[in-house]
Amino acid sequence: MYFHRLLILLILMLYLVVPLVIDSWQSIDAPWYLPYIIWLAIILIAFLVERKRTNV
Amino acid sequence: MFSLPSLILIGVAYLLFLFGTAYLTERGVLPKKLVRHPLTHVLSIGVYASVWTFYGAFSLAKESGYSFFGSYFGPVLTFLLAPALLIPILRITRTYQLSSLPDLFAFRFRSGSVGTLTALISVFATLPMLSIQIQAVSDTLYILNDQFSADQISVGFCFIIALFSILFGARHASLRTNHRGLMVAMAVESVIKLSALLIIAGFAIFGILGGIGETGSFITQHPEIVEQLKTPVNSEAWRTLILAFFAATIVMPHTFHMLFTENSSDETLYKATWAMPLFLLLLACSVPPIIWAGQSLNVGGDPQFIILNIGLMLDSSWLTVIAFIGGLSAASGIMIVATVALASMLQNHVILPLIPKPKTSRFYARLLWLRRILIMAMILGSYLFYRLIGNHFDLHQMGIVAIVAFLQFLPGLLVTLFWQHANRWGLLLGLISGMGIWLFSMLIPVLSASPLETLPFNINNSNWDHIAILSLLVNTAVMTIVSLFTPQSSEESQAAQACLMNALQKTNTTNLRASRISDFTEMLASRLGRKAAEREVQQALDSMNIHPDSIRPVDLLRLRAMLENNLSGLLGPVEAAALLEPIDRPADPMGVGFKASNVHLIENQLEDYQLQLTGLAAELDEMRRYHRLTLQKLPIGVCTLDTEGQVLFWNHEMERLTHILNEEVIGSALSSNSNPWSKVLEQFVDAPIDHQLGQKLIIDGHTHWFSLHKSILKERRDIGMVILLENDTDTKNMQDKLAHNERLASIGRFAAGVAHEIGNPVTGIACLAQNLKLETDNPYILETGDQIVDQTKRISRIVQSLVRFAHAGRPEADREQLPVSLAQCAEEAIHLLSLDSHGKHLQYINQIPDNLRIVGDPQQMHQVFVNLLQNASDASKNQDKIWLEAEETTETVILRVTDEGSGITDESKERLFEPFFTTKDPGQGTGLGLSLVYNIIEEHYGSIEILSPANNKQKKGTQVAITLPRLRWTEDPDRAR
Repeated sequence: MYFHRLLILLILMLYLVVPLVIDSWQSIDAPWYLPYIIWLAIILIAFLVERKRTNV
Repeated sequence: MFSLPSLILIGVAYLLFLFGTAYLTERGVLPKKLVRHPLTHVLSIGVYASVWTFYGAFSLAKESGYSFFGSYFGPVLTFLLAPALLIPILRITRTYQLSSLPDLFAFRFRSGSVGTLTALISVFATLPMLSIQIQAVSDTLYILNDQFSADQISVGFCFIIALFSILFGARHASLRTNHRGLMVAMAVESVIKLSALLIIAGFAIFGILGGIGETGSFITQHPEIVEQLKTPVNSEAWRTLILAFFAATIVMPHTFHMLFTENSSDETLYKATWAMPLFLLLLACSVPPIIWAGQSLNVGGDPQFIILNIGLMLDSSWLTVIAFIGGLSAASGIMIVATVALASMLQNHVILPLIPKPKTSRFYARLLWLRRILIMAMILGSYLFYRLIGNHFDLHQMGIVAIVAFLQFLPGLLVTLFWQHANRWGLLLGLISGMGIWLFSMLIPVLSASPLETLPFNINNSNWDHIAILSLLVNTAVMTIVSLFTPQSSEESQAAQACLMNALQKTNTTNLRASRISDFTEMLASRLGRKAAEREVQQALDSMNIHPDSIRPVDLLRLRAMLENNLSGLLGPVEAAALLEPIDRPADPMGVGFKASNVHLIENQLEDYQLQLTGLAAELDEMRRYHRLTLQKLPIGVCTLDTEGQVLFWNHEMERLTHILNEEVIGSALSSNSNPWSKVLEQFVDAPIDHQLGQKLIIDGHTHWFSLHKSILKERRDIGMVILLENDTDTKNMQDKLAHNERLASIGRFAAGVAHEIGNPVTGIACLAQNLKLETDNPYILETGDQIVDQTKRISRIVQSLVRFAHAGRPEADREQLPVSLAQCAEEAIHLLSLDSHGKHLQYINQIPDNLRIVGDPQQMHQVFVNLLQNASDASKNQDKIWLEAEETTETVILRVTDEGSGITDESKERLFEPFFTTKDPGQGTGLGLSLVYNIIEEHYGSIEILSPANNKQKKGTQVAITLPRLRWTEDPDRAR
C-alpha cells in the first residue's frame, strides 16, 4: 500500500548516492569488468526475487 | 565491397524471413506455447535496443568510456522497478483499453487537448529517433557498397518497413487487439541483434585477439585501452543520461506499444525485471572486446560502424553480413513498432477529433484504412526528417535531442500513478514550459547551427544535460504550482483516483438516461452505424456475461463502463467518452453518496485485493470483513438502500425470509422485483412511519407475520436507508395458541361453576319427582314422574362430566405421579367399552408394547383412553377396526389411536378441543370428551394432534396422535426392581 513512498525515496536516494558511487569507483583502481559483475549481481537478485514471487 | 545484387539479396532474404515469421505466427503455425510464452514477450520488448545501442554504443564507448552504460542503466532501472511502475501502468491501460501514452494522459486528465499535445510531442520526439535509424541503415549500406545513393537506400528501406507495419501492425480496428505476428517478429529481431553482437564479440575474442588468455595479455600490454574505457565520466551528464533513458524506456511510442499495448500479462513484466537487464548486459558485454579487436587490427573509419569495418578489413563476408543484419534488425524493429504506435496516437488524438465519424457499416474498415494511411504518413515524415535535417547530424546528437523531449513526460507519468491532485492545466502548462526550453535551447540551436561549423558532438562535453535538467525542473515546478492553484473537475478527479496505484476501479457514478440495452444501441448507431453499434454492445454484454433479458440498473452502469473501455481501444479515451456522453444524466452536484454500483464493485474488488493489502489498509479490511460478517449473519433481515432506492446490502436472513437471492437484488430498485416481499418493502420505504409491527402477508397460502423497522442513514448528508425485517410468524402462532388455551381454560372454569350451581336444584327436582310418585296413583302423573327422574339423572350425568372436566385442571401438586403402563390402560378401556357396545362389534387391535411407561395419573390416563376409544367407536361402523399403537423415541412416547370412521371435516377440526363442541347427535355426547383429553394431556406435558383423514387413499378414518414424555428406565420402580 505504501510501496510508492518507498519507491520515491529509493529514486531520490539513488540519485544522491549514485554520484558518490561513481566518484569512488573512478578513484579506486577497480578492474575494468567490475561494473559488469555488479550488473550481473543485480540481475541475480532480481531473478531470485521474481522466483520467490512465483513460488509464493 | 559487396556487389549490389548480393546486398539486395541479403536484405530481401532477411526481411522475407521477418515477414515469414510474422505470417506463420498469424496463421497459427508456430507453437502457441512458444508464441504466448512470457519470455517471447520479454524479447519483443528488446525493440528498445535500436541502432543507438547497436552501433552508437561503440563510438560512445570509444570516445567517452563507460558513458555508454547510460543508455543501458536507464532501462535496467526501469525494468527493475517494473512491479512499482510498469505493472500499475499495464493495469490501467488494460482495464481502460488505452493504447498509447496520449491515451493514458487523455484518460487520466480527462482532456482531449492533453492527448493531442502528448501525441504531437511524441511525434516530434520520435522523428529524430526514426531519422537516425534510416541514417544508420543508409550509412551501413553505403559502407558496404558506395554505388548506392543514400536516397535510393532510404526510400527502399522505408517502403519495406511501411509494408510490414501495415501488414502486421494494423490488422485489427481495435488498437488493443494483440498483433501476435508483430510481437513474435520483434522477439526474433531481438534474438538476431543479440546473436549478431555475441557472435562478433566471440569472433573478436577467439578469432582476432586469440582467446581469453590472449585477450587478458592484450589488455595488460595495452593499459591505455582500459584507461580509455575508464575515462572519467561527466557525473552530471551520466546521471541525466540514465534518467532520460529511464523515462524514455516507458514513454517512447515503440516501447510503450510493446510493453502495454501488445502485452496484457503482468507475468511478462515480472519476468522482464531480470530478463531485460540480462539482455542488455549481454549486449553491453560485447562492446569492449569488439573495440579492442578493432584497435588491435587498427580498424579505421567511423567508430560506430566498427563491427562492419572489422569484417570488411578482414575481408570476411559472413562477419560483415552478420553485422549488417544485426543493424538492420535493430533499425527496422523500432521503425515498424514506432510507426504503428504513432499512427494510433495520431488517429485518436489528431485526426478523429477533427473529422466526422463515418456512419457507415464499414466503420471498422474505415478506421483500419485511416491507420494504414497514417503509418505511411509517419514513414514519409521520418524519411523527410532524415533527408532534410537528420542526415546532417551525429547519431548521438539526434538521439539526445529525442531523449530529452521524452524526458518531459516523466512528471506527467509519475503524477498519474502517485499524485491525484495534479490536473490538466498543470500538465499542459508544465509540458509546454519543458518543451519550450527544449525547443529553444536544444532543438533550434542544433538545427540552426551549420553542421560544418559545429564541433563533433561529445556527450560529456556538451551542456545538453543542463538543458535537460532545467527543462525537467521547470516542467515539474509549473505542473505542481498550477495544479495546486487551479481546480480539478470531478471527472478528472475520478479518473485520477482510478489511475492511482492500488486504486480500485470505479465505474462512472453518473445516472444514465438509458433504461434498456436498446437505448445504448440506438445512441451508438447514430454515430457508428447500426451494425457496428450492435456489435460493440453485444461484445460488451458477452464479456460481462450478462443476459440482455435480466439486466439491472447496476448492469447498465457496468455496460456503459465496458463500452467506454472497448471504444477507447478503438477510438481512444477522449472520443469514447464523447461518444457515450449523451447517455449520461448529470449527477447531483452535491454528491449522492454511495451508489449501488460502487459499493457492489468495490466489495468485489476488495475481495480480490485482500492478499495485497498491508498495514493499516489490511487492518481496515479486516474490520470491514468483521462488520460485514456480523450484518450477514444477523438473525434479523437487514437491507440497505442508497438514496435512489437501489439495494446495496441484503443479508442471509433476508434471503431466507424472502427467497430473493443477494445476486438478484443487489444494485436494482425494489420496484424492479415482482416478489410480494419487494412490494411490502417498497411500500414501507415510502410510508412516513419508521416502524410497522405485526403485519400479515399471505404467500402461496402460507400466512407470514412480520415487523418492519427503518432508519435513515445520515452523517453529513443523506446516504440511504437501512431496513430491518423481523419474522414474527412463530411468535404470533405461539400467542394464538396461548390465547386459545386461555379461552379453553376459562370455559372449563365457567362450566365447573355452572355444574356446581345446577347440581343442587337438579337434586331438588329429582327428590320432588320421587315424592310426586308417592302422592298419586294417576298413571299419567306416575309416568311423568319417572320421566322427570330420568331427565334429572341425565342432567346429573352431564353435571358429573362437567365436574370431572373441571377437576382435570387440578394443581400439579394434587396429581398422582406414578409410572403408568399405556398397554394396561388401553386394555382396561377396551374391556370397559366392549361392555357398552350398543350392539356394535368392533375389533380393537392393541399393539402398544407392554413395556411402555409414562409418568402420570393412572386414573386420568385411563379416562383419556376411554374417551378416545369412545369417540372412535361412535364414528365406526360395525366390524370396523380400531388400532392402538405406540412408539418411543429417546425422549418421548407417541401414542396413536386410529379408526376407520367417517373422519372429521376441516371446520370441525379447528374447534375439536373446545368444550361442548360435538359432531354427535343431540343427547349422544356432551362435547367434553376431547376437551378433557386435551386438558389431561397438557397437564402431563404432552401434545395432541388430529390427523383426518387417516387413510388418504380412502379419504376416511381419524388418527389421534398423543406425544407424552417418556419415563426413563431408571425412574421406573417396577423395572428398577
